Amino acid sequence: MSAPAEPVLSLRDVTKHFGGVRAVNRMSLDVPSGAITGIIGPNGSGKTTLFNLISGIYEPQAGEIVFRGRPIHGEPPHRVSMLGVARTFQNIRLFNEMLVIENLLVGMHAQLLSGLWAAGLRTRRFIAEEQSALQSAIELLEFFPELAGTHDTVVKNLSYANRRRVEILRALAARPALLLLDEPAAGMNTTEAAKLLRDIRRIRDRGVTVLLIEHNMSVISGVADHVVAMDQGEKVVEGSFDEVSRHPKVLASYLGSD
Amino acid sequence: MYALVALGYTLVYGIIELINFAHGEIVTFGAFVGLAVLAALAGTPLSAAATALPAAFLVSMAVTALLGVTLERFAYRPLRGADRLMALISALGASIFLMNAMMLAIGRDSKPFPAYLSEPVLQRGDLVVRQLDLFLIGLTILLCALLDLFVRRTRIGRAMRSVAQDQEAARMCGVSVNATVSITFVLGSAMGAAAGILNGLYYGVIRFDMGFLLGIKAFTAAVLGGIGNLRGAVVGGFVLGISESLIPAILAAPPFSVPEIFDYKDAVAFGILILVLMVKPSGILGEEVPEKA
Amino acid sequence: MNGPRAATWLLWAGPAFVLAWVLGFLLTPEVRGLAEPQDFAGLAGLAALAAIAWCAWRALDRRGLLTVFDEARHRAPAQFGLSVLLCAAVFPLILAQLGKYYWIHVGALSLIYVILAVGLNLVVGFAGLLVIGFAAFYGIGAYAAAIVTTEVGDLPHMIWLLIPAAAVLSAAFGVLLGVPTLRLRGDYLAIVTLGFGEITRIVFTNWDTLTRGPRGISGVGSFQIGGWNLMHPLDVGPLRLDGDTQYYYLILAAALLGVFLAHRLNHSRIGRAWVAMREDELAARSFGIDVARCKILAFAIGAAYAGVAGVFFGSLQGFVDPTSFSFLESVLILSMVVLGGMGSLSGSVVAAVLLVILPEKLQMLRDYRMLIFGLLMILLMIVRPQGLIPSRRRMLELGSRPG
Repeated sequence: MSAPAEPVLSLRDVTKHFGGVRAVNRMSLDVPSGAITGIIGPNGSGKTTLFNLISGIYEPQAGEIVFRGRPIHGEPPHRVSMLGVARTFQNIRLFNEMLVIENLLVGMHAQLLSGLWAAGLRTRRFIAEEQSALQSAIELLEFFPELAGTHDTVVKNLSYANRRRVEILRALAARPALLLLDEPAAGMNTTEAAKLLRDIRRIRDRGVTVLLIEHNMSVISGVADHVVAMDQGEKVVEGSFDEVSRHPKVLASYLGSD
Repeated sequence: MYALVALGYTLVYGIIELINFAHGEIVTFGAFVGLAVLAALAGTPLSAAATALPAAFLVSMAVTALLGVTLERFAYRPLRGADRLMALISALGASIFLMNAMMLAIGRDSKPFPAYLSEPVLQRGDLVVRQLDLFLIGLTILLCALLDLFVRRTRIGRAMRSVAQDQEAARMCGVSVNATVSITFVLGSAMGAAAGILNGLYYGVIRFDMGFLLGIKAFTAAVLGGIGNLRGAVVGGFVLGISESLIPAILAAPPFSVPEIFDYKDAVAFGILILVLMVKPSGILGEEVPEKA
Repeated sequence: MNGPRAATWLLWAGPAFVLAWVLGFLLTPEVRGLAEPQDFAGLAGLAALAAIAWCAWRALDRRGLLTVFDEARHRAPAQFGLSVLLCAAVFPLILAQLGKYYWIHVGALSLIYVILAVGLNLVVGFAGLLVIGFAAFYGIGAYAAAIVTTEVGDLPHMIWLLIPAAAVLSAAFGVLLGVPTLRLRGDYLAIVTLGFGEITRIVFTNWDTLTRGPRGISGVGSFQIGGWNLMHPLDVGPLRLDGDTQYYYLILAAALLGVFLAHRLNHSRIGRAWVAMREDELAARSFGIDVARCKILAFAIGAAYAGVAGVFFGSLQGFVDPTSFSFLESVLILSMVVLGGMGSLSGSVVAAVLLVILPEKLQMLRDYRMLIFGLLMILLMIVRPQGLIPSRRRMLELGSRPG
């Protein structure tokens, strides 16, 4: 394997069928720590299903998923999230009626501990905790200069690109070790997308391992350290971008569709 | 009879994924229209069962269908695509509105329903089978079969199923979603009207709020059969009807011997509902649907 | 605009205006029909009041004062709280001077509905769980109070213990209902809770040995402190406070506490989790929110509110019977939540008071009450789904202002 370091996440023979459809079939994968791994593949090749399996929304019928040495398949999503996996969704799923800052605070949900009584009595610890959460949320917001001054805007009033950005920040707010990005550049124009990819590299530089889905080859070329190509629920090839993009099967599926 | 009411629920739910809380009131309305027709025909040469009943059914089904469409147009259509919670509250509002409108128009008392087809065809000890019972079962099966055929075989039926699958896609293919939903309400309400009249004939009285209980029970039947599934609704209706009369009878007899259970007869239906929803929300004939992620 | 000062002024003027309006409302003659001159006077009075309320609202809205008011309210919550408290406290005293004792009773009742509406709003408005049989929890609280104080004997201070006990009991039933319905979709949940409400009512009606069936239970115990029974008149200097007035204050304290706690919850991790769950359950689950726990918590807390309200109701009326906890009662509470605005606590408070006092005046429309509620629900959902006072998500302020 070309993985430079101990993998953060390992998949072994993970399989998920829907009725007769094999969405993901005997998929094995190592996600190297501290790098950006890109998953490419045509629509319907099982990329998003793979994300849903990793984040616990689906339970695989076979195989195992190990995150930082700990099996996580079969754990409910909120448990997986608490262990350090955060994600975005292909079609943005923010809490639309809530403020930008509140979305980030929800992202921190797992790190906050105050329960019912603390909130009702407003204990000193509760105030301190809320205050520091608010502070880190505000700091986090500075990650994207485009979001300056939006903290008390209701999310649904933001532009599309900014909603994508908030969604990424919400995931970062959870302080994940592994960040799953499902087509983060979808719906953005070329300039915006290029900018976003630079931002994703900045995320990696903060020490977060990134696993990125993209079906557009050109988008992924500049950003991924490691690329995995999928088709029909199976891994076709993995390696550096150049290696993968020259693979005949990958060429075939992309020349066919583009 | 539960089967017929359940059909109305299942039909509407299957297409627009909304529990039509007001369906019970639609049934009641149908019963009152039927009663009005029968009362108008009384004393005329047309008062015989052979003429009066078909007239009552046809008129009531037509008028009630109109009510159903109006209801959809005003209370549901503006909320299509809005939050589910809002549509549900609107449906609940419609139910309360109709129930109270009928109470104000007709009064709080039960109204007697004229007796038809009450001659026994079979009598063996305690067991009496009236013409009416056969008529009820026959008509139920007939209407269910017709509806099933309609949805499966006709162009409109196909349109209905396509809207149920994906409204956007159906619209792209030239299906008018509004018209299709309206037709759904026509069919559902007409079935409800028939059920309302049968209910009146069977129990001999009708009341403004009878739809409330009937509605919930029929909904139970629809869920029992797997909501959105027409044949399931029929099966669910029969299962519920039988278990509702059997369960208290069993519990009242030894070895349980709790005669008080009859006071809780209606609670039994709710209990079944809750149990079914808890254990198998997809119903006895339903299939698992993968969660959309 | 000289912002802060104008705003502080508004904090006091607002509640005072509402108080004056409510008093004006109460003094308007009743509209019993359309025959007596009194009816027309009443109708004219009500129309004038409606016009005043509407004009005031528009004026506030147009001049941007509403936002200023809102800002001020959040900048100086203590002042606003004090102002509301003062107005609410003066209310029965003025009524007593005017000899309108009945309205003090109505005032106390409307405060019970405030507790109910706020509790239901936590479940429906925040957590997004449509619960229709809410009156069941209310009834459980009321019957608990009635049964314990009549059967066990009315020990002097026991009813105080019944408040937490009823809260816990109702919450337990809430959990009992919540656990099996966790996986249900919104519309199924609505039907199941409706069924639960009906079963509860049927049990109240038929469990003769415990609930005395449809005859109900009378002689529910009243609140006491030492030898002082809150139902007996009390002289404070020149003022004579009758039982209803004392109950009014008692329930006012409870209602304020309820609103206050709900407000705090709303601006905490739990409130955020509820709203997040309502907005997108799947996304919420992906961010460490244990949706199951959140839902059960919402059920339990909402039910506890209703249970407490039930104890006050039973003790205030001195009598409970199944009709007080019917389907229509649930609908009434739900109407309050919907009218006030889902997720809006102040909306629930205002709507609860309005929906209790309006029908008292419009006796003529009594029979049409439910009809109007039904229509109201449809129209509100279509025209103004956010309700009278839309909830505004805003920054939580804990001392320093961010960025």
